[in-house]
Amino acid sequence: MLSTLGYASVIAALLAAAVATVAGARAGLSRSGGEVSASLARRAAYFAFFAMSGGMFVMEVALLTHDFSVEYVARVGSRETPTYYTAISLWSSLEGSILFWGWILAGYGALFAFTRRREFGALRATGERLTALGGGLAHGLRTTPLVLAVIGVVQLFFFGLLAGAANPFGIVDPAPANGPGPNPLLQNHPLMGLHPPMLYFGFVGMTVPFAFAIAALLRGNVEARWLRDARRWMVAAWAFLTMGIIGGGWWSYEVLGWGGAWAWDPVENASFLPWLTATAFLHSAMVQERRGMLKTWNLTLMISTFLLTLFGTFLTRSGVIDSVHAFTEGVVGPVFLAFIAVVAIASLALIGWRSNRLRAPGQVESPASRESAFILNNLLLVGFTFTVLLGTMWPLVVEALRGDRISVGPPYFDQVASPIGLALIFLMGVGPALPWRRAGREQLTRSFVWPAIVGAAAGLLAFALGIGYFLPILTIAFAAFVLTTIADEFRKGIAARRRIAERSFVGALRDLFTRTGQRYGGYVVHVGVIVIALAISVSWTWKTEREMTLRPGERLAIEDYEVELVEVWGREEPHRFVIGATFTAFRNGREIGEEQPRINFYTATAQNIATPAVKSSLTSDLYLTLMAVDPESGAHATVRAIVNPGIVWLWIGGMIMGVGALIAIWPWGRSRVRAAGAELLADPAAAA
Amino acid sequence: MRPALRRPVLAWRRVAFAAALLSVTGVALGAAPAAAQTVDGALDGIERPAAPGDPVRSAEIDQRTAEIGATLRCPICRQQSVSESSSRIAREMQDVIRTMLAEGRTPEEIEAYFVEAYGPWILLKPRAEGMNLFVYAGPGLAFLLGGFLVARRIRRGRSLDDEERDAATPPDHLRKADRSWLEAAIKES
Repeated sequence: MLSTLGYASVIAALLAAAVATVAGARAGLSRSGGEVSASLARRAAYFAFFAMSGGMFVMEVALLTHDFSVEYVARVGSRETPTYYTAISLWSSLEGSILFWGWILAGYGALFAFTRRREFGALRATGERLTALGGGLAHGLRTTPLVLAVIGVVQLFFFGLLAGAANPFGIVDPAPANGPGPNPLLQNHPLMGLHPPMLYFGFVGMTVPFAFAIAALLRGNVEARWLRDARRWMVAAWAFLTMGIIGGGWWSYEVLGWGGAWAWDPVENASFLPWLTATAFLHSAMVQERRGMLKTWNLTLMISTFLLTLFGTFLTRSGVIDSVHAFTEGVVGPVFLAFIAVVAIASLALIGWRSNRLRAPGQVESPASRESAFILNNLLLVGFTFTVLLGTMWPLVVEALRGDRISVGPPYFDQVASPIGLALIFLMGVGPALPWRRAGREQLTRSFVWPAIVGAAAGLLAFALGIGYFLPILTIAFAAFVLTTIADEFRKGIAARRRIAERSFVGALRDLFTRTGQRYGGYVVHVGVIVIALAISVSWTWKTEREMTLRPGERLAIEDYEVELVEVWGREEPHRFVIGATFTAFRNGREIGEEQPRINFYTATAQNIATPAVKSSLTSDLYLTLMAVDPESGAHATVRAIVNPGIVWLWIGGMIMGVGALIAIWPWGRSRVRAAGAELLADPAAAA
Repeated sequence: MRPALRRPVLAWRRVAFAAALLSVTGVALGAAPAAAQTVDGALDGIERPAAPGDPVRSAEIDQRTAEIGATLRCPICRQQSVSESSSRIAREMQDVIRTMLAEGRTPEEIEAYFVEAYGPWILLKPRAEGMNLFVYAGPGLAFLLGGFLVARRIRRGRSLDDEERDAATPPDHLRKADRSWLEAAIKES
């Protein structure tokens, strides 16, 4: 019953996507008429979201009521799993996660149509006028239905997958009485409810900029408004992706028990790749906005980002690469690969076809200019993308060509990523302080003398304080350099604002965010990146680790911490056994609380998951993993204690990045519109 | 009802169950399923902890063991090194490294020993030889090529003489932010 209902919803959404594609393409491409088709495309986008929401709702009902006649529920559900984990087991296996993906995709389509709803009224009016004259839709109004059409094509693929190869609503007859429950790793920590949706919102969100890119290529026009809108959608998706990646690191830190957040696991890399190209686009788009250059390049980045999200999904879903996160199910792999190939070839053909129209009039005039800094930034980010892609795929390449099995793991990635990362950080201090077009010698001195002095001083100070490692010293020096240029930018902005509008300090600061949120929000994001860079460098350099077997009452001392074993215990829960040890933790001799690292034994799948106990503070984390307990007497336990300095700042830095992105895309109401209008007035060239 | 009881189980697991059940009922007993946290490591057997009061290991050897272990893959884990993993096999490998270090072997000899036993797959950082040279040279080549293209583009821009440049793009000396404030200020006044 639920199966039929769910499947019907998917089919309805599939039909709606087909309607949106055809109607949108007609409205966007035909030379006459089109206003009716455009409205139809918009309604179809709404309807697809409505239908997919129905499908999602049915699946959630099936999961929560343990209807094991639904194939997906029979696969991931169990009566013993706590309700929270049952609800989020929607994304714990292949079909459910594609359903979730499809729902978000439908949501983005509907949201896009909704944000452009006013246009459809205007469209009708101009449409009538133009039809009378024998023309089609006004030029500027054709983008919206075309974007809807491209989103429709992507929807056709995902909804088609749900109707065929990845159907979650298959019927199991007779229905089993119980199921195995979700993968233990995925039901071991509440954070599992946080980062996967973030990642999905980020991944799926990249579809909208992609649709913008394809629509622009089809129409052969990338005007100013198109770019501004595409960039805002990209920032939104990018922010979700950032949160997802950082949240994933946090999850892995809290769950996997090895005391780190990032292991260059293939699937982690797969989420990092589109993040890198999206970041590149967010910067190079400003060159296009300002100088009208890099049009083809920006389109390429938008399309590549989308392709990399598909590729990441392919890696996760196809099982070609072994990973903590891989679902290892083979049917969907080839379908994904075919779709990636079709999108890549079609996009390349479109770019080739339109390359004449997209030729840029502008030129880079000097290496000492902001556009040069942005281009260099793009070189580094895309080079970084290539490097991570190469390292991730290399074992597959070697195995395919030579049959040898090799590994490319963290030591390789750490080595190649460190210099690229440092160069990017350095550039973050240079770029914002450079003017567009060219900088004079005097201007360069004025902008960089102080940041350079502060940076060098910070580096020397770190060295004097006894930091004996090259990388952290360099990171600290660069961080100080970047923070100084950012502070200087804020100082200049606030001073200008106070002078011009006679605002108070706070009012001026507020103006910076509300009137030029893209720029100053971007600086806030940069501050977050610096915080993360410092956290990584500090926590990797001074991480200490100690392992000991303790009897009750005995203590392990590490850095300024001590832990004392109180007891070893066991507990039976409906879906698992928990074996744990209780420790009392001390810091500088003062008791800071009780810690309970555990080993969870999931009975249905016979798997052990060690769950660490983490005591966080702003200066350092105490991280305890239970390695073993004595099966005979239970009288002693082996514990690994890790002291991770400053790792909390990794998550704090992520939050700062999120806040910055929010400032950049927040619709600051009329002030923003006025600013945009003023910009248009003053600079018609940029708008053309 | 418990699925593990329906099929033949390894003896150790039965022990673990019994012990866990006992400890639940209040008997102060711990049970020890393997401490491996990865999916593959689940059937990894019981870790027997060293008896308390073991001779304290040398901190220097521990440090070097951790360094070498970080370059070796835990064979049953996914993308975890021997140092990070708590699976039984990884911990046995750590013991091997420790013993070999204590015998005075060099890190290279230890690495060679593990490559001999498991194949080059065991190295988390592939040896820079043969085909693998590309995975080291590739990024460098990509940056060189990209740098060349970028440099050419910037130079080409510079070589335009001033007149041509001014004709190609309108003069623009104001930053965008300043410009919009200027406009707003003009409007307000």
